[in-house]
Amino acid sequence: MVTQGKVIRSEWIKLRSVRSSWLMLGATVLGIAGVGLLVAYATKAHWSASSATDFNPVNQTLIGVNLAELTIGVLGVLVASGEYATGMIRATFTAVPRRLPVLVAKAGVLAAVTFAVCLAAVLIAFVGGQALLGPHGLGIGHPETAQAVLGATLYLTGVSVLGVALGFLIRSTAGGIATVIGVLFVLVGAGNPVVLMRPGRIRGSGRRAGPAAEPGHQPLGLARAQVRRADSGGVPGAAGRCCNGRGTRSGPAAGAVRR
Amino acid sequence: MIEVRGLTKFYGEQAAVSDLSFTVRPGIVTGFLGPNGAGKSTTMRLILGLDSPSAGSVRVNGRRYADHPAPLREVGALLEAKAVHPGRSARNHLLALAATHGIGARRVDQVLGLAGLRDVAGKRAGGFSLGMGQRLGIAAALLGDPGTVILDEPVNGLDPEGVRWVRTLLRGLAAEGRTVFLSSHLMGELAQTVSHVIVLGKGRLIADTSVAGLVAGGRSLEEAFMELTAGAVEYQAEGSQAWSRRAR
Repeated sequence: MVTQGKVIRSEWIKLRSVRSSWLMLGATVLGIAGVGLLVAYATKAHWSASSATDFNPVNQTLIGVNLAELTIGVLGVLVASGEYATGMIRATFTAVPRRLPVLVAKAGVLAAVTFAVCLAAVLIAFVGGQALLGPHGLGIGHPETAQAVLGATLYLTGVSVLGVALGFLIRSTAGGIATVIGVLFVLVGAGNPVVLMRPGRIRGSGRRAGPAAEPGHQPLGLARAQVRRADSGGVPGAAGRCCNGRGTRSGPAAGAVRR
Repeated sequence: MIEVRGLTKFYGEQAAVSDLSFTVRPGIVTGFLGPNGAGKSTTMRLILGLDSPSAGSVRVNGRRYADHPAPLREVGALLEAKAVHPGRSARNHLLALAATHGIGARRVDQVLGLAGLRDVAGKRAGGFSLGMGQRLGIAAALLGDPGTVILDEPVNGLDPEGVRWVRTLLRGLAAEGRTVFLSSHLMGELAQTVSHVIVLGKGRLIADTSVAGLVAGGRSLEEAFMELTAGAVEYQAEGSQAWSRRAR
């Protein structure tokens, strides 16, 4: 009997048995961890007094996420459109005549793999990056750490699912990749709702960091900026200020900073 | 057993097949014939639920294909050689298909051996020749040990040894009581393999008859086919006159 579990197993075999998956995942890790560590190292090496004014240790070390969303989005498209391009989709739908279990399995398997791989890469970038930043970085035990790491990872996981969905809808690798790039990098403009999903471009939530934050550092976790929860009861007045600090600046590195 | 009843499929205004009814019985090899564009591939896609009919119905082993809880165990199909990701090895391709039905690696290796692909099982399918692609497609069709086998042009690109292998294989499958449905344009080959033919022309059923009846009186299957489909050929080469006009 064909069950969802068996279809998931089949999709796992498919994902790991082509080279493009490993290439894109490798590029993703390189993008997140490599770029993050490099930027942290360079920041520390070229530190000057003026650096502090426009500096956010979270965004600084996770800047590679912006690169990784491209590789992960492309991998998502390839997973689905690759089958249409090669004709494999006929074999797939002959084995599993219902479309939905295939779609669910493809998206689920890639999401799980993306989560695991990106979590590791983001951890390396964040923890290693903060260490490289030395006195300018955050401690691993900082309350923002989990939020930043998980937020970035979940964001990339969402991008992978978006890629699979577009790959299925468009059925062409070139068209799917163009659309993913369009959605992630072009549509993300002023006032577009997609902007809310993209950490690097989030405008400051306005919420001040907890008391543990060092002066001069306003490390707003990526997840916090996305979710904009008004759960900051611990900081008096924070809920009221939650959403009024918008529009001060944008750009990947400075996105979440509010001074 | 494949039961086609009143099957009609429109693509836009154009009817690819119209009001098609026939039954493919178990225990024999049935040939599926027709000129290019007659609707053979469309019919096969409809049988496998890869397309939905505009009217009529198709049942395989008593049910619609998509209603079978384990379709690969009911029907094995080769629709197109090399419907395979070129970057995936033959063995991984089969393992992925087998996994959907909980079929293990042992059966995968068994069909690889049966298809003569054991030595190239770990090679990327993108490097396969057409004939090796056909072998891989046939191996995939046999994965679930199905009672019904549907093959579209399985001997295309096969070497003589491969052609003979397919012939022996299909006869053997039929002798075991399975339903074998096979399309081909190679009349000489079909004449040696099939005992019953279903002939399409312009999307309609032209003949549903035994080969013995067709070739009665010393006619070859090819002659009988040409006669049957004389009015139904859509794509035909222009005569040698038209072709040689430039030379004049």
